[in-house]
Amino acid sequence: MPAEPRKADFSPAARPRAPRAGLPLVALALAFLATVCGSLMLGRYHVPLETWWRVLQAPELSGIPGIVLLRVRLPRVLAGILIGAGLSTSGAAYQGLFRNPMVSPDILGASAGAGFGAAAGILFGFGIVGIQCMSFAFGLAAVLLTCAAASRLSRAGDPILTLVLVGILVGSIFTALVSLAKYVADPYSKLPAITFWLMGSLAAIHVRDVQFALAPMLLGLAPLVLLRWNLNVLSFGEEEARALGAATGKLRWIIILCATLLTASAVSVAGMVGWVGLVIPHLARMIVGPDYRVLLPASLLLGGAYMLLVDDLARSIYATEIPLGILTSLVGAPFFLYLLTRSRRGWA
Amino acid sequence: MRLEIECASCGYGGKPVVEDVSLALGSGDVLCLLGANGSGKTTLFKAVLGLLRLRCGRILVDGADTASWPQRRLARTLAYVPQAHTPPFPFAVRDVVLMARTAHLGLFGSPSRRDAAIAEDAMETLGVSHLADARYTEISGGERQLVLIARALAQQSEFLVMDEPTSNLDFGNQVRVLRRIKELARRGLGLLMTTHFPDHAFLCASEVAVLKAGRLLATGKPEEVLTERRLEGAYGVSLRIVEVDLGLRVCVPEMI
Repeated sequence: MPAEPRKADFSPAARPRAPRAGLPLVALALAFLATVCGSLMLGRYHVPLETWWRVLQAPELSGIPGIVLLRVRLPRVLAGILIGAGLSTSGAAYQGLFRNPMVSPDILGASAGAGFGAAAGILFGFGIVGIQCMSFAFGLAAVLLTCAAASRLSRAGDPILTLVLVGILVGSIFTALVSLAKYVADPYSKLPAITFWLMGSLAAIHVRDVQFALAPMLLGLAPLVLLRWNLNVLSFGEEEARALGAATGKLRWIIILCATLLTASAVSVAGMVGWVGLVIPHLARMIVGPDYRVLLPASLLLGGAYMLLVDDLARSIYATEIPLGILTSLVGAPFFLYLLTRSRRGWA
Repeated sequence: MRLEIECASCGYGGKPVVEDVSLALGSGDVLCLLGANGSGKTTLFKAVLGLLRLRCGRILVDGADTASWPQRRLARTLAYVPQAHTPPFPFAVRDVVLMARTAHLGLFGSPSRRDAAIAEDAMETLGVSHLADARYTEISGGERQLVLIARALAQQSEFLVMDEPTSNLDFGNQVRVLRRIKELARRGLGLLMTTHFPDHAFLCASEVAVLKAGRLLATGKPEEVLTERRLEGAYGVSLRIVEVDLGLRVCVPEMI
């Protein structure tokens, strides 16, 4: 075969290079660690650095600094990391699975279901553990309902589109049920409780909450991180991914199950925290590019750090704590708009 | 190796789109599938690739029925070259080609250095190595088509199934793609492709098949099958087939 003459614009220099990631990931990890340390330090009660070492060496003997660090701040920081990382990772995975950068992890109704579960739990006067269990269970149930209904519909046509449409329907049903729960709730005690709970907060986080969320969170995160190569392939669409040898059906259910575990456990511990799962994957994609091998760990780190920063704001802006859901929307939505204006090449 | 489509019928919902089609090709063959829009070419391809269940008939590779094969095994035998498209995310060309290695990885696997080397080789063969670091969403349609062929090559399958590899390309890029196709056949790959241009079948096909309304009109050597009457029957326009230098034939439509 004769050699082709190269066109002028074929030269590598004339083309923008796709970013190769490695260094950005290390930088993100360092920034994440810095945020964790900063968040542990932040607060009314000042714990000098030299005390930290003493606390870590002998947690039982360290008195008030030990209680502040290990019982108050550490659980809160851990919960923040888990929730931020969980929502961002599942958001990134969903954007690949649904081939749409505007998808957030509650697209199949997980948040709406979990919100209703919590509202119902408060309405029936359950304790905090009962409310969390109700929330988690209804989050899972909403997504199962979506999947069951979608699989009955999708004998012909695009299974992904069917899922999204049914997810919107199920989500709106549970949102209506939340309104119903609020309407019938006692306006002096239970209505404010439901309202505050739905606004989201990490203020009341207890060691027990972290224990409650840890298992489903890790169970959701690990498979997603392991499947990150397949997420690349899935973003080329159902048929092409199958022709490339990906087991798309199996992958789809694993990803949906994991993302639902993450979202439902996040909502059950901290209430409705919006925008994180949509904004952070975008930001991560801008920094490290679209390759899920790097994008997924980057979203995880960035999500954890972002959640801590927002929670730091919630703790320190005002004398009383500002609900987290309000801040994530106030910060997240304009930030997302900024990202959209910044991104010149479509969605990265 | 030998790929056989035996009395295949398939379609969507209640409506059959392809009926009773039998075709066969071996390693080193280029089988060109011609037919009007909606004649069932793409549907037949989906069935061959295992994306659409056959109503009856079989797809055989060296005599073995592929119906029970898992998608991974099928992908290691048949690689698919879709029409150049835009994915929602700006992957690097290198990574797009690397995705071909999925069929050789486990569920939780990630490509190794060896996989990366295979992808580099494939890009080298198709002459797109200089694009490796560019974003797939920003290269031209012709470059994308070559990258997709490189990806199929990196899949290390015995057969390539190409859906209109020359559509949406300018004349120069069409010729470039056809040359690569001939070269891949010389390397011993079996190629099954569709095209809208009878000329392309004359240029690179060792066998052609003509589909009309889901049924096979004829199959055989290009010179025997692509006659004026048969092409007029397939496309519904009057045309002439003219012999130019060295016995090469071209198809010219009549404009009145």
